Amino acid sequence: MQITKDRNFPRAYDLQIVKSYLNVLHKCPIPLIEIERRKLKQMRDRETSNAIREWKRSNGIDSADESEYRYLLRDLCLIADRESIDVDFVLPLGGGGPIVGSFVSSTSRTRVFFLTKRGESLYAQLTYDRLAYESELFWLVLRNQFYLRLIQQIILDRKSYRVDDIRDLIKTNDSTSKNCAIQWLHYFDIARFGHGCRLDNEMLARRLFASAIFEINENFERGETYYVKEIDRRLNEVFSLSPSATDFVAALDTIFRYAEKSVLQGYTSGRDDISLPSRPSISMIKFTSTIPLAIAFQANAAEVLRIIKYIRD
Amino acid sequence: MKEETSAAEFYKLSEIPFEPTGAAVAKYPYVAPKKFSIVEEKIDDVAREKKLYVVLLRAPQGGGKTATATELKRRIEAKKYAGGKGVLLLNGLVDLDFSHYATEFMGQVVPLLPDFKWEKYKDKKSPGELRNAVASVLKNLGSSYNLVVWVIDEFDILVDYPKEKQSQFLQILREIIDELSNERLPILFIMSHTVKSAKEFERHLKEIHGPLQSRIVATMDIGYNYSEVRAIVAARLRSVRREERAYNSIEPFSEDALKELYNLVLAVGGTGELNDFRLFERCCYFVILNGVKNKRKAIEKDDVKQEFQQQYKSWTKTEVGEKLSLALRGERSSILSGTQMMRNEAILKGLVNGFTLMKDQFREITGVSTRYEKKVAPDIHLSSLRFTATHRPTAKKVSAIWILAVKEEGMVLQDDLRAIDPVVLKTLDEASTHINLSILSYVSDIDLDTAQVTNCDRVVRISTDTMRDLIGLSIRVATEDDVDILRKTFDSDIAPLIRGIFEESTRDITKDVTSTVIRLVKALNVSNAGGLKLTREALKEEDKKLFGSSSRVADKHLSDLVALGFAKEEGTEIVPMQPKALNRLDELLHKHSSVKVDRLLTEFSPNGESVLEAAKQLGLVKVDENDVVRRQQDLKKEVDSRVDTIKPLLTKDVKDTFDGEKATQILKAVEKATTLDDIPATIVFSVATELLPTIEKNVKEYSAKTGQVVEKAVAVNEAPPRERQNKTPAKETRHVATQETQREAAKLEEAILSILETEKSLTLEELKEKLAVKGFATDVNSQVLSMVVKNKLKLAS
Repeated sequence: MQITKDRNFPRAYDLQIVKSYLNVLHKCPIPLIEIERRKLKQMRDRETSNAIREWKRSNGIDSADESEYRYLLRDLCLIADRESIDVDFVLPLGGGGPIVGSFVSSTSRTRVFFLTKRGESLYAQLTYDRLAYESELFWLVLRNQFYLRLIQQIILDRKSYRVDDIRDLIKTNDSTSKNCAIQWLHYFDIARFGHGCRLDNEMLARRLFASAIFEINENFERGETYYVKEIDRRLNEVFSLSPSATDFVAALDTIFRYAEKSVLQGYTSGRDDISLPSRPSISMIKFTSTIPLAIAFQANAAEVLRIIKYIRD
Repeated sequence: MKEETSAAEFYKLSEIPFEPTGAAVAKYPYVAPKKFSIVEEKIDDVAREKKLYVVLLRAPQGGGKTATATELKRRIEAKKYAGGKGVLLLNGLVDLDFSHYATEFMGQVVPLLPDFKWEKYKDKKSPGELRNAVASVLKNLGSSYNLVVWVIDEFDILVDYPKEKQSQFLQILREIIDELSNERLPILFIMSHTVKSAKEFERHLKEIHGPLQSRIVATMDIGYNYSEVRAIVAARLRSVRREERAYNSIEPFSEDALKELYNLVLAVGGTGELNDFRLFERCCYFVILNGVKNKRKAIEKDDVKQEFQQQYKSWTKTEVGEKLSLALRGERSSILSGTQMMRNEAILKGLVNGFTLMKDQFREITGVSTRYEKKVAPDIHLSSLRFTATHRPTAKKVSAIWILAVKEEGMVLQDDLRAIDPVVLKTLDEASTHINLSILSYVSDIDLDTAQVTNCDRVVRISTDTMRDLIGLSIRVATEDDVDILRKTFDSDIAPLIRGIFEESTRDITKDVTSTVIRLVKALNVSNAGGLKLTREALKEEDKKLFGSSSRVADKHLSDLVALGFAKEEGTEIVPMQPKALNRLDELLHKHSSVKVDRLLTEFSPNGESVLEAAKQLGLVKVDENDVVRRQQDLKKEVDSRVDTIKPLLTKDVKDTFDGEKATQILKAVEKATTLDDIPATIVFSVATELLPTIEKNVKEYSAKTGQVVEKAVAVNEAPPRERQNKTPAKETRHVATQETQREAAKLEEAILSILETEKSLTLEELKEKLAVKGFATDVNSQVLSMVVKNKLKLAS
């Protein structure tokens, strides 16, 4: 039997570069593999090769690890590829570079990459709201089922919230994955470098809170009633977390406090189920509209910190 | 008016010897629990050493708090301790206003100290003054009596007050304790409470007021085991019987019924001992009453169950502990009160269920089996769990054994480890198949120094709280909510360790060994035998040198090399090792000389094929057509013959060539290999037999091109040894040939560099084409590689 194993993190340390890819791919599909450095080196037409390189540089996607960023975007379901069609060859690369047909033969089976619906949605967030963009990206990282659960390891380890250096708590033999996880946490302002690498508990809680809101908005049916404990369990499962460490019931409680009545409704259960801490009569919730992401950043620190039990204990 | 007779007459009892309130003190005979003796030991210590002891005591309801204190008082008054000159002060806490406590305390002490100048402290109200008063009174008592037992009852009301108030109150107590500690006073200070376990309460104290907590000498939960409870029931029934029965009779209860009730009440406390006697007593009362109503001759298990559920409902509301389902509590309590063998089994099963909750770590847990191993004197029970786990992050299939050591009457202590370690070794030896990972865990609330445990890969402590939760996790009737509660300790105490253990401690062949890793193993062993110390990058270079660069060595291959047990990292250096599986295979083949493939596949299951394939690839074993596996034994002979052939070919200029360098390195490794262990030596010999024929061929070709010198060398090699010495080529001839070779090499090098100056980068084939145009031979691989090694050329990525 073939064993599938979790993938190591791609060597895509700098998540800033994701923005650049979203920007260029939003304009038009791009044959990403054909413009990678190794391909450009083999290109006979030096002038075109230099022009492509210059274009990549000006768009912030010229990196030695470009294929790694392509894997990352693919694994987060932000890009997909298809076989090239005639129109692809007459377009300028990314809207402003050399004509694609000048370096890719129309007879070749070149694959072009484009933004998926999720990618376009993330791009939209990027243009309007940086916080929302980062939160969505964190949500996508947290819920992806391909990579080693290193970020989860940090969240699930009680010691993470106390030690001066969380790097020692990541157990993996793959140093790239470990460094990547730390760099990503740093990008999301969850890990702060100083004397060691400390966790910013509040920011982690806010990011988790925002992820819960994204997950509910995206994957919970409107109009259907869910038990509070069922929501908590589902969120823990999809994020590969554990109810011992996280408490999404507290997140729901806070959502109830801040959201309009038109967004969600609470019901009592006749079976003595888990209820919201500040609303003991509510054990079931119906989501009727999109929960505003802003709640994750409006709520005060005490409210959001409740989401991580290991901070509370 | 006729006096109504008790319903208990039905059972020929003058009354029901249990109270519905469970609060009868001194009415029935007192049966001291076993742990009462611990309190008595402390009393003796205090009186003998004249020291202040602070003890945290969780006494059971009914049979404990009040009854224990009363019993202590009775025994002190009966002059049982301290030569008959002892005194006991018992006050309950009503609130955290120290003046209230001090007033009550003083009221009790006045008759005990007739000569004390009480007027000095009259009308004192400030906490500081009252603290001084209490301390002064205690000092006086301490010097007037041989023993002072000072009990503050209901100490747990503390938790109902804000943290600042708790802290203030505890600070006063701490100051009194510190003052008394400075003098030689025989005072035993007992803080007694009922809520939570003594350990939990101690943790709470630590959080609120660490300095006070650190002054606690001992903490103890006083509870009853089944035989003690049975004795109490029998004693009470005996005292009201109207008809003679056997001395220890518990009629009308059946043995099963009483045991069931004990288990159910135990479940409420969650410890291995009954510490809620009041609930037990209340149930006994109503069970008998209902037995009379229903005309039951004997009270059976089901009657007890029914009554308990009825009574428990009203008690749960005041319970502060876990909210586990009743069914789970029932089953857990019967396990807790069962044999240690049962408890061990449940803990191990709970562990397996914990693993399955770690979805980020394990894709599959198979081959689960548990076994009771041995009882080690005096009362440590060892059990083992075998399982195969498919580890998600690494795709390893790990065959593991988890050995559990639990002490029946408490926690495993440092000295116990000495007795446990040999049993672990025996258990591992007796394992029917090969084990990749062995873990020993011991149940204890203290961290032990495990350096002396040498026979397993890792040691894990399981706290008693975690143990209880693991037992709960093992129970099939556990609901999702139960699991959420019970997994907490597993998630916080065990899961983080598991992540590290499976990632870092499994250094064995637990998945297929790729050909690149095999190459690295060979390169590492040859280099090491040749005296080279390698870093990761240097190993990559050595691999390239020995085996060419047909496939790229990535970091993941180096990580696999370490993860599969072929190497370890010491600082930046990478040092060869042998995976446990290969050692085991070697042992087996030494013992049996030949083993069938099927047997080996079973032995190393689930990685049998990977182990066998790796052993074959490394030249450690050969498999014949009948599927019989044998050690490679004739390698040394073959290698010696190869060495004899190639050695004379390695003239000074040949040594400078790429093949020459390779040959020199291999010969050096072969020479040293004889001093190595079997496995590394065989790997070196295997590499020699694999590479030397090609090197020999290349050297010969090279020599043919460079002229007679090497031809002569070959001729010499073919000649008998005695002649060989005489026919060694003249120095002059060799010198000429070397110069010629060097000139040619220099020319070729110049040509390559000039081509690359204009072309920047080329593939090898393109370079060969360009050289051919310029009239050079196309066989330039060795020259190019030699230039790469000398850093004159760079390989483009």
